[in-house]
Amino acid sequence: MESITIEKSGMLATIQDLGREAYLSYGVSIGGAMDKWAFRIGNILVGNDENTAAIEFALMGPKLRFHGDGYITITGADCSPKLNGEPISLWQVLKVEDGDVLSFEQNKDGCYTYVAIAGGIAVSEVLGSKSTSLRAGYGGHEGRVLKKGDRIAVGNDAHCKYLRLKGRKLQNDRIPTYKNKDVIRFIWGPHEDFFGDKSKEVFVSNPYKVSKDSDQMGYRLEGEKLNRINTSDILSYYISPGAIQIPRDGSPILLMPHCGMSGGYTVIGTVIEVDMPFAAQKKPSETIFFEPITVEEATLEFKKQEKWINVLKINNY
Amino acid sequence: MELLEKMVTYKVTRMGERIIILTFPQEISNEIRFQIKFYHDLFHTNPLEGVLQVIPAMNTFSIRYNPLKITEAKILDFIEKHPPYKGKKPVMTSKRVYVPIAFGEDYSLDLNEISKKTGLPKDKVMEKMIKRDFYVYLTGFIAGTPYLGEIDPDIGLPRRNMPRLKVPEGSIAIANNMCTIYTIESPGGWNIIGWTPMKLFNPLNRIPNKANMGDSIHFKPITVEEAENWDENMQEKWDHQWNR
Repeated sequence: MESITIEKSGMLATIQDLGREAYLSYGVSIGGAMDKWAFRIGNILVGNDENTAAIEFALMGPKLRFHGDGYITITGADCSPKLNGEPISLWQVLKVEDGDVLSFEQNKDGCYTYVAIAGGIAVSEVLGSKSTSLRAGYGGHEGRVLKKGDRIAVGNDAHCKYLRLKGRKLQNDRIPTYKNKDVIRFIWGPHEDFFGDKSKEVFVSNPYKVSKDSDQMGYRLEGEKLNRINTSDILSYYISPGAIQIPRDGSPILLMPHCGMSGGYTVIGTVIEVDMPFAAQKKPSETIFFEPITVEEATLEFKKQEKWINVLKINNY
Repeated sequence: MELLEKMVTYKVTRMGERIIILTFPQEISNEIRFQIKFYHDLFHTNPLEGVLQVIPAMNTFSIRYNPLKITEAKILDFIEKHPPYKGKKPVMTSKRVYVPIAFGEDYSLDLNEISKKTGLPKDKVMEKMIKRDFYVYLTGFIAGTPYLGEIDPDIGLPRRNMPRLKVPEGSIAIANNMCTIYTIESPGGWNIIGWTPMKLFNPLNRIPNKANMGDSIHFKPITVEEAENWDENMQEKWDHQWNR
């Protein structure tokens, strides 16, 4: 495939990859895909390196026209994808031909969808990544959302072995249903000592609703407020996506990939790596229950996930 | 060999399964600052397999790692085997970066209030900004925002009660004992004291920040006219004269 034109813009359609981890200490957000699991799977299925630039959008899909033949995979939120008007499946490799149009309709599940393309999106790297930082205005396509009329180039897909891509799909029992997953696991800390046992009990036994004021920096959560027993200020320090900040008003904010990398609010707990994609897929007004687990359990879950992804990669190439 | 007079003890805390944080007492002090810089340099000169990034801040030193490659115990053991200032002296490659600052009605939005609240005449307030070096404790937020300290206690004020929805890029502002430069337009509650036309953050550079943790920033006054006519040429001249 040579390029893609945007015929309709959709919502928050941007170019993303796995972000800018290497630049954290320079005060740069990690950013990248909101759901890094779905993002990685899309790339792996379509024969790319997992950190290849792809298109992300939220809830409302863009309309894309492909120039040249190629292979794509749609992963993440289900927005009823259609190719030339015919319904198509997520989590599997699809062949597209010159002039084909990909469109989306009603959102059925999840919040963020990925369109991975064999060869990836070809834009220049900024600070080691092709991901768009909307907040800072750089990366991706001119540091902004994709608009009607934009034409974006597709990278070299010679390494994607077309014959092997045919019919490739994610096994059924691995396909997530985001709305069914409302328990999000976390590890206490670093500031759990600032909260009394009562607040901690409240936090793990009540539902929290994702507020409409949420964005790619953080999901504001509505529910029981959490009171601190230690009200002293803390100095600005490094914070990470997954951190559950409790500002002075007591309403939690779950930090998302585009959050600032420093902050001065207390963090009661941090969502574990393997559950962050599910948290990111929550839509405004959906609810989350937080369940504490140990570092050892979380590390084991992470190991299991990475091992499985490695097997998927090996089977694919 | 310079030895640290007293070693400040820290607590090890966690942020999820991939980050450990050496947490020093909630205060800003030279001892803590030296120790954090020491650990920062240590990990940069002796990279540990599996440690992805180290991130220094005011009273914390965070270590982000891949738990599939290294354990917390191994990292902490490594730290214990390298106590600050014992053995060899850490590499201190700090530089001083001169940053132009313009004071003026449109640029020093809170100068009147700072003057009123502190009882200091405006020129004295300005003088206190240009008479000292500010240490870069961390570059943070989302685009290398420098957190600088400490300002003269005489001009220390809390943040504004009502944060501004938009603080222009380049604004230089103070709050409590710290000073910052807004590297991108953003909401903010710090007291705006001046403005710089110099870009401190450029994502197109390999190292995006002009000043990084461990460096210091020194403000030098320029006129409003100079600030408004600032361009690449003037920046080049400025860097040639001050930041070589």
